Amino acid sequence: MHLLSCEGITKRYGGVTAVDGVSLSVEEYETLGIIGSNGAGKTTLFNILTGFDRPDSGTVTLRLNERELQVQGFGAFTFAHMGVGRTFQNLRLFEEMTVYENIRTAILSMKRTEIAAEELLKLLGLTEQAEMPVNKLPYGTRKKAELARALVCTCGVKKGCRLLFLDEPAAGLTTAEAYELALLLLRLKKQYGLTMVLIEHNMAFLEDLCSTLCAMDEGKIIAAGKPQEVFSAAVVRSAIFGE
Amino acid sequence: MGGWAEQLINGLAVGAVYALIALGYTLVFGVLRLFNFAHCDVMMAGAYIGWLCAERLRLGLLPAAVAAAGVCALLGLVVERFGYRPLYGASGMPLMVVALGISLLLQYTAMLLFGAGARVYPFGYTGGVVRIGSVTLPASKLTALLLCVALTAGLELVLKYTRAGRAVRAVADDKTAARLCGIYENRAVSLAFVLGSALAGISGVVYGSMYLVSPLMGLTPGLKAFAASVIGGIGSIPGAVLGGLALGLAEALAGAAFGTATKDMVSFVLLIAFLLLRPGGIMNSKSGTGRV
Repeated sequence: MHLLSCEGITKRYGGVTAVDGVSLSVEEYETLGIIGSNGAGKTTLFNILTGFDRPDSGTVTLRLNERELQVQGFGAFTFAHMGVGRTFQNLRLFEEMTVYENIRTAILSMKRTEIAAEELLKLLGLTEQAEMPVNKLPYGTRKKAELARALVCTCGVKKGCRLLFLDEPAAGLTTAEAYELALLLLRLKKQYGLTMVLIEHNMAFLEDLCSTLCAMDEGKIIAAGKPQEVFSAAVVRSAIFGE
Repeated sequence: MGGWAEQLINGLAVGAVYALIALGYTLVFGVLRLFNFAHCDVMMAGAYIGWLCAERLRLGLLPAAVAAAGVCALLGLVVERFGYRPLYGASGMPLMVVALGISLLLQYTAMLLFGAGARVYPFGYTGGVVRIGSVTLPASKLTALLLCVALTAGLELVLKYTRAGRAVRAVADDKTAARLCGIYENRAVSLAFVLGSALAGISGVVYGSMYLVSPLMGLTPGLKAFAASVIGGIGSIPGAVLGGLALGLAEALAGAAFGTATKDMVSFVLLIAFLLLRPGGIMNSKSGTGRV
């Protein structure tokens, strides 16, 4: 059953077509990875699917409480209240606040939350850093703090769609940290019944996590399927791996 | 000795008024990156509300301050909703023009309603004098100082521990991240205007009771409060208070040492010095980006 689908999404910035007629769907509890070289249109697509940008044409459909809603043009604020959480490639934390305050601020903005800040801090191993300002923390810990805050919307909204978007979650992490993050995401997915969509350049990370991959180039999807099938497709090897 | 102590308290009291006005500038700048130049005229409106309460209704300082805070909060809400909100997303210049337009609108409305002449609060409205040892201090100055401390502490509590206050801080910190967390940005901006305008209303009553009330009275303290918020570190609440008090003190001491003519000069010399040497102000080490 599709939780999220989009049809013919196109987005232009002046003369540049960033996303060109993209259609894809995400099943409930699936983990979909999106790969592509820089400028392929991955983040623009993410922005459209999470309400941070409007498509020039095309539709985005989200299934919520057994009803299908056309959500293109809805703002990020509305997406958050429907149970869609997101992290950014460049971290967007409230820099003047502590880890706890970052999570608590998100919890307070939700009308009804089923998740407590303490639970998230414990789950992500952030209890010791809870009272530290996020701008004083190392990069890996900041990434965890942003993930914890995104989980508030994803898991905390009553009858929400539990959809988590992660933009390059393993970027800047060591191999050991990336492995630890992959294990954590698998645990979260199982515990909260998450559906995840992620952009990533770390192929080993994607292979561990994703059931389906989409490869993008010049705003179009050039291949989709199981990770090994996509990695071995000639068009992907040429466009993304430069072979 | 007594003379200098009085000057010190005088300076701190005037500085407290600057600080209260500067808090409003800082709150709005934090969420909107806009210097709301109509803010000092909201303070003027507060002074008139206080004067009406004192002169016509015979109310004491506290009820007058509460009434001024309430009316000015409403005024701030209207200004934000109908003056600025239609222009969100536009560059800074249209918002600046609207700010000046609202400023003129409020000044001339006051002129229409109360005339161009000055009004005076009833004699001894804020109490007589307080004697501490050999030092005699007007009660109004001490009231201004106490109000500044209490209101700043109250504002910090609201911003730190309430849901709405956290939303204001979140929007001031990062609008994108705030939307991501399901925070309704416009509501947070409205709240910043409401809080800032309520503080301006109270400072209007305090300033009006110390000096005269007139339609153009907001201009000088407004400019000084603007200087105070820049000196303290725009966007920083402790910075606004520190900047206000420092400015009031510097003015009083300069006035005592070199004559009253130097008072205004000191404020703007300090503003220029900070802009050149430490543009982030006292509280921001880098070039101020604005935070609440």
